[in-house]
Amino acid sequence: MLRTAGIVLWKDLRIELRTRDAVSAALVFAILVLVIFNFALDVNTPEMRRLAAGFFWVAFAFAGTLSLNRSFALEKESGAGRALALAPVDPAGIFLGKCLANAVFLFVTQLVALPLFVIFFDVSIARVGALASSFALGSLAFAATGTLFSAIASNTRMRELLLPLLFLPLAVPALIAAVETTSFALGQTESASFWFRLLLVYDVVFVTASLLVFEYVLEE
Amino acid sequence: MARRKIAIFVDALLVVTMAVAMAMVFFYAPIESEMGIVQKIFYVHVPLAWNAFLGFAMVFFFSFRYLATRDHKWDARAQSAAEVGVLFTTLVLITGPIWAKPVWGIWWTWDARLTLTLVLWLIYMGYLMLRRYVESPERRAVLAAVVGVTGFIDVPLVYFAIRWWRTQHPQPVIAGGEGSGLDPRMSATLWVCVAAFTLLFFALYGRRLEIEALRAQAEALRDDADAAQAQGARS
Amino acid sequence: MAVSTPALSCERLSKRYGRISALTSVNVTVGAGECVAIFGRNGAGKTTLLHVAGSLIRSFEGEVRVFGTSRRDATVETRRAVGLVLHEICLYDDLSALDNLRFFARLYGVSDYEARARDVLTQFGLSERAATAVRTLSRGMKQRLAIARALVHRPRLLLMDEPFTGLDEPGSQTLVAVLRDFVRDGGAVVVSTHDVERAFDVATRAIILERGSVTLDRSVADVDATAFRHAYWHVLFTGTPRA
Repeated sequence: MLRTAGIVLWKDLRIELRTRDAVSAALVFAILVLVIFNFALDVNTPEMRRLAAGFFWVAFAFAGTLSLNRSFALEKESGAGRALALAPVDPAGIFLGKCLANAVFLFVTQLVALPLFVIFFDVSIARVGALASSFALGSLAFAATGTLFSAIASNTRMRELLLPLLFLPLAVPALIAAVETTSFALGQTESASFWFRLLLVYDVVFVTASLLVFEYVLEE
Repeated sequence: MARRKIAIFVDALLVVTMAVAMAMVFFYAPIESEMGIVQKIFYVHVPLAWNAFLGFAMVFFFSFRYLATRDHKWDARAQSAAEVGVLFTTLVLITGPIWAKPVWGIWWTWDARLTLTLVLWLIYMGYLMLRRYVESPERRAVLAAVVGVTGFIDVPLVYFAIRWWRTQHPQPVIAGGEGSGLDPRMSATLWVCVAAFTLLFFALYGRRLEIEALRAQAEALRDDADAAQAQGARS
Repeated sequence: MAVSTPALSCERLSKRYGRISALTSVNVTVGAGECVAIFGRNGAGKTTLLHVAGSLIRSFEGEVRVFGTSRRDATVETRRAVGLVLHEICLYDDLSALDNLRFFARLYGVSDYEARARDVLTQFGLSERAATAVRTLSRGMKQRLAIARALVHRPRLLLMDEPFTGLDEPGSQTLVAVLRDFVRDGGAVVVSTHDVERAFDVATRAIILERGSVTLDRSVADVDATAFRHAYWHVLFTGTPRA
């Protein structure tokens, strides 16, 4: 299974390196949302700055669905996903490869958006390690649930609607935890150990659950 | 035939229990000192909530059984439970604000329980919308079952996340605090209401299953008729 | 004939989609070294038959076995033994031809995947375009690459749905040569097509599917190509088989 995951991960990374579709779509959308927040609300007040982490993750919750959609759209495009599903490999490996690829794309997007975020919301990064963990665990959380539901939604005629509809409610615990851990990393709260643990638990639970059910999603 | 008898029995029991429950709510239970008569929504709101979650647990169980056996009847049961469940969840979300506004002056308080119910409602909706947008019946059953199972796994995580978050950002709680004492007449009324609404849930669930069975029968008959016609045309 | 397990055997295979019967009690056996050409109108069931054989469709009535193992199980070994060419090219548009083949070769556990991918590319005349994205290839080249993908993992059974569609003359000739070699080396082929000439070049048997049933199953040696073509066109245009 790990071997398969590695092959699929490499393939998705390779495609992304060539097209940069997932990262650029998510990045542009996230920046757009952050900018719109700036216009809709006066984010230069101390109260708003305390909510900065919240704005960041809201932007990514939505932007993330774009890159997650792409993950399986590219499999459907010329039917390559069918050939993939018929290969003599463990479906869990296919899931793991795509999930890790999506996590990487989300993480990279967040890193690239970070400078702009810091400038727009005038925040400072108090704990770099915590920020990196927050982004990494959060991206993995979104990728775990998102990859599963992207695969499910790609079977339907309304995949752009169904992916966020299915994925966002289930991502609520991860979203709350991600916001709290990022706030902590920005020096705005004093402890977040519960939230880091919750995020970790969420990651483990959903990666495992998705690994187990993915074969059902993959059959035709 | 046996199923019909059970259905009639449940219906009869439901009518009786609901009548008793409503009588108790209005004539037996005392009027709460702080909130006044509005508090009586509690007797409807809490049983509805309990059943909303029961419904989702049923969806989880039926979805799991479907994936294990691929027997279509589990899918029909999951669908029925989800439809009745989402109805009850919607009612919880309606009775909550109706209660909150006169008592606390605001429609919604984002307290842990109500927020959890809202998330549950969203998960239910996702489940039902997915069902609507998948063409093939087999795929629909499998994909819905996956959502039914993973959605349920999420619920405890949502609960813990929201509860911890709420302890850090407290707000008034709609259904009364965890340990608030209830007058014995109030708890008696509450229990009878819980029984009544649970019966209502199962009565509706049973009806929905029946309708689904009839629909499937009608479709099978139509398919057979078409196939026979095609055969006839060929020979 | 070979006594060993047939590459593909369908017994009383039926598939219904609601009220539509795609296949009705189809019996087909294909052994090693055989190349079976399936003809039929669109909608006759050719694609459904290939999809069931390729385990894309898992629910059906009757029994379908590939090298003795039921298709319902779709085990790893049987999947490794089967190569599929479908209506879609089943390739990643944004990867290069070489990357695509390397990916599938690795996935199927081909140990010498690098060399094998390059060899197959050369076989199908795609070496010059090996590094360009599949998106930029012409229809004919994409089709050739799709066939290359099916062959890269050295399958023993090839299932092909109208592979000659979209191929230009050199491409068609290459495919015929490749299939001849494949069959000569003991592989089995099931190919659906409308191209009677090409099919008779390479096939050992011909089958006609009519509304989900087999109406003709004859060894190619017993049938005159021209007569067959006339009979087949009669079937195509009037829907009724001529004796």
